[in-house]
Amino acid sequence: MIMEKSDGVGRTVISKERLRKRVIDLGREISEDYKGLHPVVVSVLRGGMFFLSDLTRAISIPIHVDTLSIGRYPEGQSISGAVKITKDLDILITGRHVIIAEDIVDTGLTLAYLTRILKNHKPESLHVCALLNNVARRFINLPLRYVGFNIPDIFVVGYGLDFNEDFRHLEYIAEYKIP
Amino acid sequence: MLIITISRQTGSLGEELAKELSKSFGLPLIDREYVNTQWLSGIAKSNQINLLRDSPKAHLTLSSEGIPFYVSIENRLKDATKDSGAIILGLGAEMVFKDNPNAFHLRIISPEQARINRICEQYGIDVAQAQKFIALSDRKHRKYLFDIYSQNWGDNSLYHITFNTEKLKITQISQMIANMFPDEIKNNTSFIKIDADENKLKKRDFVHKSEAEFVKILEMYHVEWKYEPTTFPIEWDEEGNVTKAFTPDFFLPAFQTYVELTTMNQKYVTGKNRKMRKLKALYPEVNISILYKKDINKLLRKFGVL
Repeated sequence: MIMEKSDGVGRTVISKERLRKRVIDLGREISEDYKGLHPVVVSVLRGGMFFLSDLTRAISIPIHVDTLSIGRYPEGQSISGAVKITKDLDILITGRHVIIAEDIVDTGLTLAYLTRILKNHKPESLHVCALLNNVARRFINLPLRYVGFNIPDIFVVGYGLDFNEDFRHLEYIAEYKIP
Repeated sequence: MLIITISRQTGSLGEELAKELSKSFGLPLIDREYVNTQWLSGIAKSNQINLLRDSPKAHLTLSSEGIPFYVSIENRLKDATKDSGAIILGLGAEMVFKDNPNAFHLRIISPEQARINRICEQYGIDVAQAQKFIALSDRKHRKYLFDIYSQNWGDNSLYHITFNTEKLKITQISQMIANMFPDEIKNNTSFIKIDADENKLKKRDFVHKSEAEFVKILEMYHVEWKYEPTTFPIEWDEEGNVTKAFTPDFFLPAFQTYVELTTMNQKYVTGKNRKMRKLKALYPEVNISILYKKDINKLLRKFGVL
């Protein structure tokens, strides 16, 4: 246990062991489905960094790995600023098979934006591998080819997911009670 | 000064023509949505606006001005066009401006199959649903003219010209009309202050604050949206008149998804849930999501509003 309960971190929702096992399974599925296709696995920093790291190491076929960042401007004026790509892909994905490794899909807004941006690069195919799927909060439905865990409608932290930049480093997924 | 009124069959591209004329001629577009959001909100309660949206006869009831709603609308239409032209879609405007020398009345039609095809494509519904949609929508238009003005909607003598859009393009019709009124269009410099792009509503046009905040979030993510573009009939009486309808708050065209927001208390939410279930049963192909008060608050909190 890295954080104390008093920090607002509640019950463990997905343990380190379950995460590890499921991510290995996802890696195996992707390896089978993309055999001979040399896909590019893309993730969004910073929430997806641990998932990307473990998932790609569980994939046994040749792949390329890239990351991008999404931010808002102007900084500090959250509601007034539109989202934008703050760090674009370094790899050309035109004509490539692309897998988006998302830490969590809830409303679908971020994924909708991301898929629209990536589709502009005209990849050969574009699919989503979501570690966590919060269906209760979804209002933009996009197909998820791979799902790690369906979770209830709670706020979670750990394994890359944060609250005000805290708790990303937890090795498990925990419920967080927003003060 | 030129006032063009447009009466159209459902699926005949009447709305598209109205927008094109508004854009090409630099004239404001006044349509039902504009009337509901800009004019009726000041003289009707929200439940009355819903009733007016669904029932032509409700326009005979009294507004807060003490006169029938249709008269309130007539007065505003006349005021809005006193010093400048306009494109007016529906609203019985061919009768309101029947004797106005500056008014030109258009009727837009198309063969039934063409209209069905367009509605299927536009809303992603099947042929049977499109036929029902067209029948109900046309009935509403027909009843408005009959109930309010005792006129037959299909009477060709009410219109100066009828366009069949089966083969004519919107731009061709627009050009024909421009050729008919070169001086009026060229001299049209005084517009009333209405945004010709009526889909881009301003914050003050929303019924609830949460709708305006939701739009901000959509726009942050560059998600195209339309506000209340479609009304789904969900109950009919024995004569086929629509007795209950449901108008989802938003449509997200890129995802073919409707979104309904609710900030109401629980007893009203129950009624809305019932409507949602009926809508899903009647229109299974329609994607619709409902966001409850707690969902909206979570979204707003996530984006730093709460």
